[in-house]
Amino acid sequence: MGLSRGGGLAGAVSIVLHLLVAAALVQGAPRGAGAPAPVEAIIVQLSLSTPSRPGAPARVADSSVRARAVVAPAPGPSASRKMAAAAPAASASPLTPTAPPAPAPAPPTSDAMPERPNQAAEAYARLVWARIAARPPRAVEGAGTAWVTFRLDRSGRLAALRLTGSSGRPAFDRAALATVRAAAPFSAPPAGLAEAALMFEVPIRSGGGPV
Amino acid sequence: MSPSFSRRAALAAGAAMAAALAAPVLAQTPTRLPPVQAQAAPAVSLAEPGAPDLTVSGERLARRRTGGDDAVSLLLGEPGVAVQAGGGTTALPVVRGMADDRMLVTVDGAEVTAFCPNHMNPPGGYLTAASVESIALSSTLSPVSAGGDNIGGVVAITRRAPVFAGRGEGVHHEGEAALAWRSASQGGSASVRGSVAGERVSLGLETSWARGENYRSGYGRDVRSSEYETYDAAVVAALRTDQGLVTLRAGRQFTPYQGFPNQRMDMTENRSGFADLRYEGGYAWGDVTARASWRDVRHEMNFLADKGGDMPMLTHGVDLGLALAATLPIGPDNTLGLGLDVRRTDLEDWWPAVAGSMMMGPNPYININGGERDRTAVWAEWTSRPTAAWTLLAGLRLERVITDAGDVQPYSWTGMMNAADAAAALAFNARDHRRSDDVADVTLRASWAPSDQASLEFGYARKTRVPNLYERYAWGLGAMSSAMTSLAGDANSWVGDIDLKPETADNLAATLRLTDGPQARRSLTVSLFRSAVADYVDADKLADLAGGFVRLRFANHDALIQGLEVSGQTALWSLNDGPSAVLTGQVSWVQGENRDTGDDLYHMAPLTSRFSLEQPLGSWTVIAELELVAEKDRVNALRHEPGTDGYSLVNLRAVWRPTERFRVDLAVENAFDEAYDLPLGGVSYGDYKVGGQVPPLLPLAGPGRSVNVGLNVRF
Repeated sequence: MGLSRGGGLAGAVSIVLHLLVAAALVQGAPRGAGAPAPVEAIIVQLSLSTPSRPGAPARVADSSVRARAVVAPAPGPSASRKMAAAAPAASASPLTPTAPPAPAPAPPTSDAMPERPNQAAEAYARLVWARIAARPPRAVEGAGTAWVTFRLDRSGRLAALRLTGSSGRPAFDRAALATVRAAAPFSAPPAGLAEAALMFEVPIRSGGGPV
Repeated sequence: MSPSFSRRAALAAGAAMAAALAAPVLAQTPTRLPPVQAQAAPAVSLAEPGAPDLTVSGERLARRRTGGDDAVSLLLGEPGVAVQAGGGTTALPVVRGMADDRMLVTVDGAEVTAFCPNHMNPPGGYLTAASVESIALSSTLSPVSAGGDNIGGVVAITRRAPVFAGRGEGVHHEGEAALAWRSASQGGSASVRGSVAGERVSLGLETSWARGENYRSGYGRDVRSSEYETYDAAVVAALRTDQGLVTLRAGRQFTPYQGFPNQRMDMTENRSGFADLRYEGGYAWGDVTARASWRDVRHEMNFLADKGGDMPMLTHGVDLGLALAATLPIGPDNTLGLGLDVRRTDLEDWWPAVAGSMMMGPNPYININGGERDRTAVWAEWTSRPTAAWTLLAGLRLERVITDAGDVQPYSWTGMMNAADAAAALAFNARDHRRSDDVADVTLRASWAPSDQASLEFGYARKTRVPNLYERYAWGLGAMSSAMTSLAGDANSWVGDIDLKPETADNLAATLRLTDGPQARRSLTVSLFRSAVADYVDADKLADLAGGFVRLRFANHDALIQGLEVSGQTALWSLNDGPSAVLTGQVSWVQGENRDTGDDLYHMAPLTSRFSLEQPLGSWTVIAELELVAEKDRVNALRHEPGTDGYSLVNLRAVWRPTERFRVDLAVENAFDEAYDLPLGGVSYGDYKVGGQVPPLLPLAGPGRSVNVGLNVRF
């Protein structure tokens, strides 16, 4: 199930843009760090812009989707590594950092700090998220947050899809599942990624309240 | 369509279900991604092939509930939509000139047959407006996945879906109670619903009651035989798994009486039970829906007090339906839908002998004996988004429809007064009644949206409707018996034709939508449509009858319907930086002609325009509406359809929403108490009969000024 006819160009542009975004993220990570020492926890905050035309949601390659992330160090070392969900702001800015980049001295260049396997996993997770967020579903009155869990195979195709938490409204639950399905296939994950890094859970919110 | 084809489709659907059950298990702990925020529904939707042309829900629906109890009438106010008047909860949709069975009306996806020789119990009559969550219209280019056996489109009524607790919420409960009262009919409605749910299981109960006296017309008179009362109640049980949702909804509907001011008869009882079992699954490979539905209807006609007399007419009908559908994404930009619909309809229609009557006895008159209408359909539909601007939809639906009915009998084989019916029954029984029609429907639609401010949608649909059981098998030729079949409120006498062919429409339509963006402070939509209908089920005259009536036989003719719809809105001023005042307007025009005879088609709405000015004021919204309807001078001469004068109505509304959970609707409809007649109301037969059946037979008058109050509480 590759890119379809006619979608090839858009798909290629999408992949290029994703790679650019990924590169920016990888480049940006050490810059945000206050110290060159390895950080054990990374908080990523993403928020998305609303695609300009809800009636026909923009493709991933559209300029309306601008995924950037500000990566800031955790206060201290931590054994856990996770991407903390944060409330997306409804501001005009597509991405709003909660923690401003530290006005640190000139950061080391990326090649000064070799990429760890988890960084690749996180970068890939961002790609996956951005692709899902590019075509969000329509809100349904009364619905809360639908929790969709899914697993990808080594080629980026959707291998399993489940609703692990209802939004309270089946119509929105269905739309949430369809949103993840419509985002597939994703770009193939990096080769070294562990099996566990190919399983994701995404909360898809209808209303504006907390997850 | 060959039977082996439908068998293969059934096997394919079965294989899809089996694959669904073998879905891989997710065992590890997933990486949690940040939330994805849904987008608010746009003020004006641009074209999305496959989606309904319009959906009325939420605030717009809530306002319309106050105006009446009829579910289908909730569409009134949308461009191109009119209704054919029936009883208080049984109006028939007329969309782009296509009325009654030419439109498919579904309730939660289930089809329901109008089991009545006067179509007094159409699908929309089994629930009241209070029970409707949303009502969507796909008009003449409706996709094949939306349903077949119609040429005008699909009206999809959705009741409230089950609710569930959110993750970590524990037990969720919610409910709603509503009351409405209207002065013109001295009646109103009450409804209550409630749900208790966990994350996996949901239980709900919903019930409503509606009642109205004879409504008062703008002429200051009561419109005879327009009173009604109806109840419905249903339970909903649902079970949610990680992959899908199983919903069982079952209920009862009971109408103790419903007058029909434009029919010779009234509904004196309608009892119905239904059950609907549905599975909707979402998998990595696509969506699947499986549904089984059953409805049993016992319908009784006689005369209410206004018309007087005694002539019981009984109907028993059963609908059984099974539907399977799968939607399979093929790459990011293509989707394939596949489906199978099987439907079985059984109908018994008989009129018991009336003791002491010379004419109505000694036997029961058997109108439809063991009537059957069985449908099997397979469909495939492909949607594609080849570029960001273009979306395409192509669908094919193959359907076999078999109709049949057994032998019949008149009240008497030998009585002088039944001689015409006895001869007709003998002739009917001598014939083979079974008919099998294989039909193919095609929908091709394209939409081009070069920006988020404009879209052009256009397409072609070939749609087919096979005649209903009354159109084929109503056989009586007697003065009284033939007058008992009348589907369209014209009070004429109708006779079926076993050889009636399916009507096939070649529909063309195009819609241009312009908006200034998703917020749509301004928008304009223009639609053009044209339907050339081969073998349109119209009529041939058999005889002129006393009182200006005619006896007609259902007959195939070629017809052409065309029209135009324009609608738009613009934001105006804003008071105190609050939401803007909004002006909306629309114009609908339709014209239909029998190309064989040159006669105008029956029940084509005259030029209609509506304007509305809406001003939000804090927790209040005040609305002024103007409805302008032109004189109806193009009428069906064959049926002696009455013309109607032009009129204008002013409606004033106020909505008060002090909190999210409480709303009050106040309205003065027809504020200036304009006296007018309903262009699609048919004849005022109730008044005619009360008045001693003295010609002329007038058109049915519309309601006069009505002060309406609605209360709604959510808890």
